[in-house]
Amino acid sequence: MRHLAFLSLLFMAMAPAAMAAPAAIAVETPWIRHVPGRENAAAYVTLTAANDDALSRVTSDCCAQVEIHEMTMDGDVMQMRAVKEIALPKGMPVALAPTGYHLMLLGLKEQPTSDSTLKLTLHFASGATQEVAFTVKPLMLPPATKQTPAAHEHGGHH
Amino acid sequence: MRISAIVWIVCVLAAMGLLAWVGAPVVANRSAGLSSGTALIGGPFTLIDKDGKTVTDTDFRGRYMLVYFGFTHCPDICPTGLLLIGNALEQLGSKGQQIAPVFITLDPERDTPAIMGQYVSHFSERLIGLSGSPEQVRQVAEAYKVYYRKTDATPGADYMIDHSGYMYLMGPDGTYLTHFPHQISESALKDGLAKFVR
Repeated sequence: MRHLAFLSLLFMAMAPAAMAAPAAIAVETPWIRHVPGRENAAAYVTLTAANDDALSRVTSDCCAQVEIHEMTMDGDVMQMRAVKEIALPKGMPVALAPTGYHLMLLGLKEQPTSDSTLKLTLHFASGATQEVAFTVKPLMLPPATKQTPAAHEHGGHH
Repeated sequence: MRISAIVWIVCVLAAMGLLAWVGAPVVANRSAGLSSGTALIGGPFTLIDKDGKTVTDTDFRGRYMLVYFGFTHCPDICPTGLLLIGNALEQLGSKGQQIAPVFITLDPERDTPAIMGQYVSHFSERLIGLSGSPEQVRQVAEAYKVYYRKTDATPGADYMIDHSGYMYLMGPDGTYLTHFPHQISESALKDGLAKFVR
């Protein structure tokens, strides 16, 4: 009886952590743009946090260093800067996309091939970490609006 | 009261006359400075292509030129812009073939002519990548009113280059026609080019 009480207490204590951790950050369309021959690449993804959080650090074995970059405009001048973190307000999808935020992979150890995946570990301010496989899609414009690629391919030309 | 008004008007007129007299040579000088070319953007440049050959602006006479500046260490904006240009020209069909898309590095120290040639080939066969000496690059950037500046490299990290990001369309005679912002959509770029290219 005492054992049972102890066990149920243990389960109760474990349950919230076990349930919250995997679903805390939803990850959509992780992809990488790499120009053949280059030693760096940009990684993009859309993140939605279940609770207020922030993407604070990214690590990977595929390259020497990963920086979180933001493209900003100063008048006409485009600037790329490393930022400390990207805020992920509760329930709001935050897109890392071309000409906005990107993860800069510096010093790739190998030249990635098209459609291969590179694993990046996302570290969040809450302490959570998540390993995500990013698909290498060299030289494609981002899948901008998911509902229109067909119309774009078949409609626009000639 | 009336007298003071008249005095006032006379003073103003005199001042204007004086200004016109003093200002005249200045204005004349300024227009003389511009008379060599009406284009404020563009002009002569000398750069080097992927084969090490010298390329000047006059090599593009008879063709439209779409000029874009950047650097190959840029993983985000420059590829986006080059993809846009490649796709827009493709969609323009025969009109697109009249346009020479030129990508000029702002980072001549790292982007050799060979690297530029190799880099642009991944985006479109039509793209022409050009580099040159730092002085040659400075000169063409000045001609196109492009601002660029190396960022401070943090230890162990690469420097980046802040730069203004327009695409410049030049006519077959080398004169400036228009420019497009780098955030332009593919269709807007296509339509914008179609309007100017005959």
